[in-house]
Amino acid sequence: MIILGIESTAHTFGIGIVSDRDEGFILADERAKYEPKEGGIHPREASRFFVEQAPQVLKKALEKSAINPRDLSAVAVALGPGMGPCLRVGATVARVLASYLRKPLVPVNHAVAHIEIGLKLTGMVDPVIVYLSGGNTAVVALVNKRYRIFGETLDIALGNLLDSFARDVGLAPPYVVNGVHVVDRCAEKGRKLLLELPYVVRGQDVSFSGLYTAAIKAYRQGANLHDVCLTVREIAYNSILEVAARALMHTKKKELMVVGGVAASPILRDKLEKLSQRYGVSLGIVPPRYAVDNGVMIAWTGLLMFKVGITVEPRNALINQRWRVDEVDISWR
Amino acid sequence: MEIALLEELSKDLNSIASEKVIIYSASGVEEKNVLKDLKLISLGAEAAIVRCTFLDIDAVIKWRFPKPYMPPDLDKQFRVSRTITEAKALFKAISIGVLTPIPLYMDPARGLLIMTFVDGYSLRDAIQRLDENAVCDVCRIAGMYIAKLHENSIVHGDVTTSNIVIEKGTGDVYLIDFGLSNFVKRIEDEAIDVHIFFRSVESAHQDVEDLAKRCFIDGYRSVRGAYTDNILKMVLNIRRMGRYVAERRLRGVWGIT
Repeated sequence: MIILGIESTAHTFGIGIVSDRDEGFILADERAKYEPKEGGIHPREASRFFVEQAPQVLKKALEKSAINPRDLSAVAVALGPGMGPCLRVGATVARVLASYLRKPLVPVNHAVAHIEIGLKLTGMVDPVIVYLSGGNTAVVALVNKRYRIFGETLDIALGNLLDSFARDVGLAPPYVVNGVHVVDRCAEKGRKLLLELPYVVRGQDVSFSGLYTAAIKAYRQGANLHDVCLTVREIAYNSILEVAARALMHTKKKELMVVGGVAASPILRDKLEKLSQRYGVSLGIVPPRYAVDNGVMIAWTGLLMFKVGITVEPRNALINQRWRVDEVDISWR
Repeated sequence: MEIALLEELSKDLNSIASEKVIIYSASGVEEKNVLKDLKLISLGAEAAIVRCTFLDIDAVIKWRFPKPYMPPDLDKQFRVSRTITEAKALFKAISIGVLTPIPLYMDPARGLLIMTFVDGYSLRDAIQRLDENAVCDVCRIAGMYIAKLHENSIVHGDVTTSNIVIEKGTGDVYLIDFGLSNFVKRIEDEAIDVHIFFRSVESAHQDVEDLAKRCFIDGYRSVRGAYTDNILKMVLNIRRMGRYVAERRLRGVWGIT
């Protein structure tokens, strides 16, 4: 079985091709990443970039895998959650491919895909999942065939906080340099914590918008930028760790897995290692290359879904910008 | 892991664990340990709960242990301030007629709080066995408690079904774990208490979801009256602030709130 997957939810247009054999299941993994010159991702600009890049990415992926498109079993595509204009490019390419090749089309939830590729690569079976990226901050676990949300952000996401803060104090773009976020780097020289910044954990949920506002204000009032970075980092990461520990204790699961773009942070990894030691659970961290958005995770999830017969008619394969992870029936597990 | 934690705790407890009380009475002199029979009963994200006998009282120790992943000064600040706030909130709650564990001893620098043990079942565990009327009663009382706290500028911060306890025998309803409580009077914070209760029934008890929510709000309304509607509106607002919530789209496109 060979599946081609298309990812285009935010800044990356990616095509991955996977097979269901155990060794070397990734046949192709091609990506084009939109890097804004200034500011954040502009959905229109990103989607234009995708339109220009898509044919090349597709061509390269097919060449790399050395398969005839006729041999594909199905085409999978991420239909949400994400930015509308970006999602539409991937959906259009997928509908065209599926109709032209007369192959089934599999609708994949981007968040579920992050989790599924994480399970595949870390070999974990039933972990508590910490999902951290630019658009998501949630602690989820599989209960009754759904990835249920135990705690999440009440407002902005962790990646959103770090990126917006970095942009507003003039540290970014670029946001990530050599695999380290600029806020992490700036925090290295921080000496003291600004204890007046708010740490907000409500039940199982976190909230970052107050921290963001307070951090910007502290900086404008003359606080040392390195100290502000350090405080933002510590408060943000530790509140997530607290929620993750709560979910571990609540569900009594013995594994902890981290997925999503922010999972690549070495600082966070170090903290998570200490946390899992304390609670006696094993820790799985998705390799950075597959923690960020990519086509392979869409293809792999599409493969799992296709095996249990989940497909969609191309005419009905509409995007959904707000498709929550807990709305998907995980019938393959 | 648990043994290592208990060892660490006993070091922190040393100051009171080695103390003895001497009781002089007509029948003679009796010497007693202040603290005995320590047994770890649950390990939470933030604290360990250890059952013990404190001066002959059935008690629990809530110990906010040091977090190895936190910078030490931030960790210390949290442990101290949360321990103090928790004790304050418990006393205040008791004084306005909310049943909670009673604080007996505290040592904020070590993150220690000793309080009476409530012998009972959490609503979370008992809900399957209770009939509809009983579930409704418990939720209504919980709603009343939360409303009383809000009237007195306290938010609980973690109103889940695990933190509502029904005492064995008496059937009295207790509210426990004020670890995330705070002294504020803002409608947003009050609404988050209600939101957390709603979420906890939605995620764990789908079959009695509507009943539990309705009775909780009935209880809440019996204390706060029409103000309850403002709270419910705010709960809706908070839900819309979350990520990828479909209802939010309506407001953006059609100007409907």
